[in-house]
Amino acid sequence: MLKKVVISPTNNHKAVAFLEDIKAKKEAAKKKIDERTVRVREMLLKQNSIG
Amino acid sequence: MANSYYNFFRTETPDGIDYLFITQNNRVYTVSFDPSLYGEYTESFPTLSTHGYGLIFSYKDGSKKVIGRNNGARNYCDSSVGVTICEIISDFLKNSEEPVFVILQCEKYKEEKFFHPWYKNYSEHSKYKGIGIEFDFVDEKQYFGFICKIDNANIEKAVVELETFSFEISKND
Repeated sequence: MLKKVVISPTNNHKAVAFLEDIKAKKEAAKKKIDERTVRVREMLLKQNSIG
Repeated sequence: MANSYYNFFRTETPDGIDYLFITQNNRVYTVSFDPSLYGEYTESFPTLSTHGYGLIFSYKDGSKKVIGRNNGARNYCDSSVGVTICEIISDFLKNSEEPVFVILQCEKYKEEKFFHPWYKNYSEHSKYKGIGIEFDFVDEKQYFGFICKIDNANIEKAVVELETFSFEISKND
Protein backbone atom coordinates (compact mmCIF):
# COMPACT_ATOMS: atom_id res chain seq x y z
CA MET A 1 0.00 0.00 0.00
CA LEU A 2 1.39 3.35 -0.97
CA LYS A 3 -0.62 6.45 -0.20
CA LYS A 4 0.10 9.46 -2.36
CA VAL A 5 -0.09 12.87 -0.75
CA VAL A 6 0.18 15.84 -3.07
CA ILE A 7 1.67 18.83 -1.33
CA SER A 8 2.62 22.19 -2.69
CA PRO A 9 5.49 23.64 -0.68
CA THR A 10 4.18 27.15 -1.26
CA ASN A 11 1.14 26.60 0.94
CA ASN A 12 2.23 23.88 3.31
CA HIS A 13 5.01 24.83 5.64
CA LYS A 14 4.35 21.95 8.05
CA ALA A 15 5.27 19.27 5.55
CA VAL A 16 8.32 21.14 4.34
CA ALA A 17 9.46 21.82 7.91
CA PHE A 18 9.03 18.16 8.86
CA LEU A 19 11.00 16.86 5.91
CA GLU A 20 13.70 19.50 6.34
CA ASP A 21 13.95 18.68 10.06
CA ILE A 22 14.31 14.96 9.35
CA LYS A 23 16.95 15.65 6.70
CA ALA A 24 18.93 17.76 9.18
CA LYS A 25 18.63 15.11 11.90
CA LYS A 26 19.80 12.43 9.49
CA GLU A 27 22.82 14.48 8.45
CA ALA A 28 23.76 15.03 12.10
CA ALA A 29 23.27 11.32 12.81
CA LYS A 30 25.46 10.37 9.84
CA LYS A 31 28.40 12.25 11.36
CA LYS A 32 28.05 10.33 14.63
CA ILE A 33 27.66 7.04 12.75
CA ASP A 34 30.80 7.77 10.71
CA GLU A 35 32.72 8.34 13.93
CA ARG A 36 31.58 5.16 15.65
CA THR A 37 32.01 2.92 12.59
CA VAL A 38 35.37 4.22 11.41
CA ARG A 39 37.30 1.19 12.66
CA VAL A 40 35.04 -1.36 10.99
CA ARG A 41 35.08 0.68 7.79
CA GLU A 42 38.87 0.76 7.73
CA MET A 43 39.00 -2.96 8.37
CA LEU A 44 36.68 -3.64 5.42
CA LEU A 45 38.72 -1.42 3.11
CA LYS A 46 41.92 -3.11 4.21
CA GLN A 47 40.45 -6.58 3.62
CA ASN A 48 39.15 -5.52 0.22
CA SER A 49 42.52 -4.16 -0.87
CA ILE A 50 44.19 -7.44 0.11
CA GLY A 51 41.50 -9.55 -1.57
CA MET B 1 26.23 -9.58 -8.74
CA ALA B 2 22.71 -9.16 -10.17
CA ASN B 3 20.03 -10.26 -7.68
CA SER B 4 22.66 -11.15 -5.11
CA TYR B 5 23.79 -9.23 -2.08
CA TYR B 6 27.03 -8.32 -0.37
CA ASN B 7 28.08 -9.87 2.92
CA PHE B 8 27.42 -7.49 5.79
CA PHE B 9 28.56 -6.99 9.38
CA ARG B 10 26.40 -5.92 12.32
CA THR B 11 27.64 -3.79 15.21
CA GLU B 12 25.58 -2.60 18.16
CA THR B 13 26.11 0.38 20.47
CA PRO B 14 23.78 2.26 22.87
CA ASP B 15 23.32 4.89 20.12
CA GLY B 16 22.02 2.48 17.54
CA ILE B 17 22.61 -0.60 15.44
CA ASP B 18 24.87 -0.39 12.41
CA TYR B 19 25.38 -2.70 9.47
CA LEU B 20 28.32 -2.26 7.12
CA PHE B 21 29.20 -3.75 3.76
CA ILE B 22 31.71 -3.03 1.03
CA THR B 23 30.97 -3.11 -2.69
CA GLN B 24 33.13 -4.38 -5.51
CA ASN B 25 34.02 -0.74 -6.24
CA ASN B 26 35.49 -0.22 -2.79
CA ARG B 27 32.60 1.82 -1.43
CA VAL B 28 31.69 1.14 2.19
CA TYR B 29 28.00 1.51 3.02
CA THR B 30 26.68 1.94 6.53
CA VAL B 31 23.01 1.19 7.21
CA SER B 32 21.96 2.30 10.68
CA PHE B 33 18.82 1.94 12.76
CA ASP B 34 18.39 4.89 15.10
CA PRO B 35 15.67 4.64 17.81
CA SER B 36 15.66 8.38 18.49
CA LEU B 37 15.44 9.83 14.96
CA TYR B 38 11.67 10.35 15.02
CA GLY B 39 11.29 10.65 18.79
CA GLU B 40 10.28 14.29 18.57
CA TYR B 41 7.07 13.40 16.77
CA THR B 42 5.56 11.28 19.55
CA GLU B 43 2.28 13.15 19.63
CA SER B 44 1.61 12.23 16.06
CA PHE B 45 2.72 8.61 16.19
CA PRO B 46 3.37 7.12 19.63
CA THR B 47 3.46 3.51 18.36
CA LEU B 48 5.98 4.29 15.67
CA SER B 49 8.11 6.47 17.88
CA THR B 50 8.11 3.90 20.70
CA HIS B 51 8.75 0.85 18.54
CA GLY B 52 10.28 2.54 15.50
CA TYR B 53 13.85 2.81 14.30
CA GLY B 54 14.78 5.45 11.78
CA LEU B 55 16.75 4.12 8.83
CA ILE B 56 19.87 6.06 7.91
CA PHE B 57 22.34 5.07 5.28
CA SER B 58 25.55 6.62 4.05
CA TYR B 59 28.69 5.64 2.23
CA LYS B 60 32.39 6.40 2.07
CA ASP B 61 34.67 5.65 -0.85
CA GLY B 62 37.95 3.88 -0.44
CA SER B 63 40.80 4.25 -2.90
CA LYS B 64 39.75 3.77 -6.50
CA LYS B 65 39.62 0.18 -7.62
CA VAL B 66 39.34 -0.69 -11.30
CA ILE B 67 36.97 -3.58 -11.80
CA GLY B 68 35.82 -5.32 -14.97
CA ARG B 69 33.38 -3.68 -17.30
CA ASN B 70 32.59 -0.82 -14.94
CA ASN B 71 36.18 0.41 -14.92
CA GLY B 72 35.79 1.41 -11.31
CA ALA B 73 33.13 4.02 -12.11
CA ARG B 74 31.40 5.27 -8.97
CA ASN B 75 28.17 6.35 -10.52
CA TYR B 76 26.96 3.23 -12.23
CA CYS B 77 23.90 1.63 -10.69
CA ASP B 78 25.00 -1.31 -8.56
CA SER B 79 21.77 -3.25 -8.16
CA SER B 80 23.30 -5.36 -5.40
CA VAL B 81 23.37 -2.32 -3.10
CA GLY B 82 19.57 -2.08 -2.95
CA VAL B 83 19.24 -5.83 -2.56
CA THR B 84 21.76 -5.77 0.28
CA ILE B 85 19.91 -2.96 2.06
CA CYS B 86 16.70 -5.02 1.86
CA GLU B 87 18.53 -8.05 3.27
CA ILE B 88 19.84 -5.89 6.11
CA ILE B 89 16.35 -4.59 6.92
CA SER B 90 15.08 -8.19 6.97
CA ASP B 91 17.94 -9.24 9.24
CA PHE B 92 17.23 -6.35 11.59
CA LEU B 93 13.51 -7.16 11.78
CA LYS B 94 14.18 -10.87 12.29
CA ASN B 95 16.71 -10.31 15.07
CA SER B 96 14.89 -7.64 17.06
CA GLU B 97 13.85 -8.83 20.50
CA GLU B 98 10.44 -7.16 20.22
CA PRO B 99 8.28 -6.35 17.16
CA VAL B 100 9.63 -3.13 15.63
CA PHE B 101 9.09 -0.82 12.69
CA VAL B 102 11.78 0.45 10.35
CA ILE B 103 10.85 4.02 9.47
CA LEU B 104 12.31 5.51 6.34
CA GLN B 105 12.21 8.81 4.53
CA CYS B 106 13.98 9.32 1.23
CA GLU B 107 14.03 11.50 -1.82
CA LYS B 108 12.54 9.56 -4.68
CA TYR B 109 14.83 10.45 -7.54
CA LYS B 110 18.02 10.78 -5.53
CA GLU B 111 17.77 7.58 -3.58
CA GLU B 112 15.25 5.37 -5.32
CA LYS B 113 17.93 3.40 -7.10
CA PHE B 114 18.94 2.15 -3.65
CA PHE B 115 15.46 1.72 -2.27
CA HIS B 116 13.61 0.66 -5.40
CA PRO B 117 13.49 -2.99 -4.31
CA TRP B 118 12.14 -2.21 -0.85
CA TYR B 119 8.58 -1.36 -1.74
CA LYS B 120 8.27 -4.17 -4.27
CA ASN B 121 9.91 -6.70 -1.95
CA TYR B 122 8.08 -5.72 1.18
CA SER B 123 4.66 -5.14 -0.31
CA GLU B 124 4.69 -8.53 -2.05
CA HIS B 125 6.63 -10.54 0.50
CA SER B 126 4.43 -12.66 2.73
CA LYS B 127 6.55 -12.09 5.85
CA TYR B 128 6.85 -8.30 5.70
CA LYS B 129 4.64 -5.32 5.17
CA GLY B 130 5.62 -1.95 3.69
CA ILE B 131 3.42 1.10 4.13
CA GLY B 132 4.35 4.44 2.65
CA ILE B 133 3.26 7.92 1.77
CA GLU B 134 4.55 9.69 -1.29
CA PHE B 135 4.90 13.42 -0.85
CA ASP B 136 4.58 14.93 -4.29
CA PHE B 137 6.19 18.36 -4.30
CA VAL B 138 6.49 20.45 -7.42
CA ASP B 139 10.17 19.75 -7.97
CA GLU B 140 10.76 16.58 -5.99
CA LYS B 141 9.07 13.53 -4.53
CA GLN B 142 9.72 12.02 -1.14
CA TYR B 143 8.75 8.78 0.50
CA PHE B 144 7.91 8.43 4.15
CA GLY B 145 6.82 5.11 5.56
CA PHE B 146 7.68 1.99 7.46
CA ILE B 147 8.45 -1.68 7.08
CA CYS B 148 7.62 -4.36 9.63
CA LYS B 149 7.00 -8.06 9.99
CA ILE B 150 3.51 -9.10 8.95
CA ASP B 151 2.79 -10.55 12.40
CA ASN B 152 3.56 -7.30 14.22
CA ALA B 153 0.58 -6.82 16.55
CA ASN B 154 0.80 -3.03 16.27
CA ILE B 155 0.50 -2.75 12.48
CA GLU B 156 -3.03 -1.35 12.51
CA LYS B 157 -2.14 1.28 15.10
CA ALA B 158 0.93 2.25 13.10
CA VAL B 159 -1.06 2.55 9.86
CA VAL B 160 -3.62 4.80 11.56
CA GLU B 161 -0.82 6.93 12.97
CA LEU B 162 0.85 7.27 9.59
CA GLU B 163 -2.43 8.16 7.89
CA THR B 164 -3.34 10.64 10.63
CA PHE B 165 0.09 12.17 10.38
CA SER B 166 -0.10 12.45 6.59
CA PHE B 167 -3.55 14.05 6.87
CA GLU B 168 -2.37 16.57 9.46
CA ILE B 169 0.78 17.45 7.61
CA SER B 170 -0.95 17.84 4.25
CA LYS B 171 -3.52 20.34 5.51
CA ASN B 172 -2.95 23.85 4.26
CA ASP B 173 -1.60 26.31 6.80
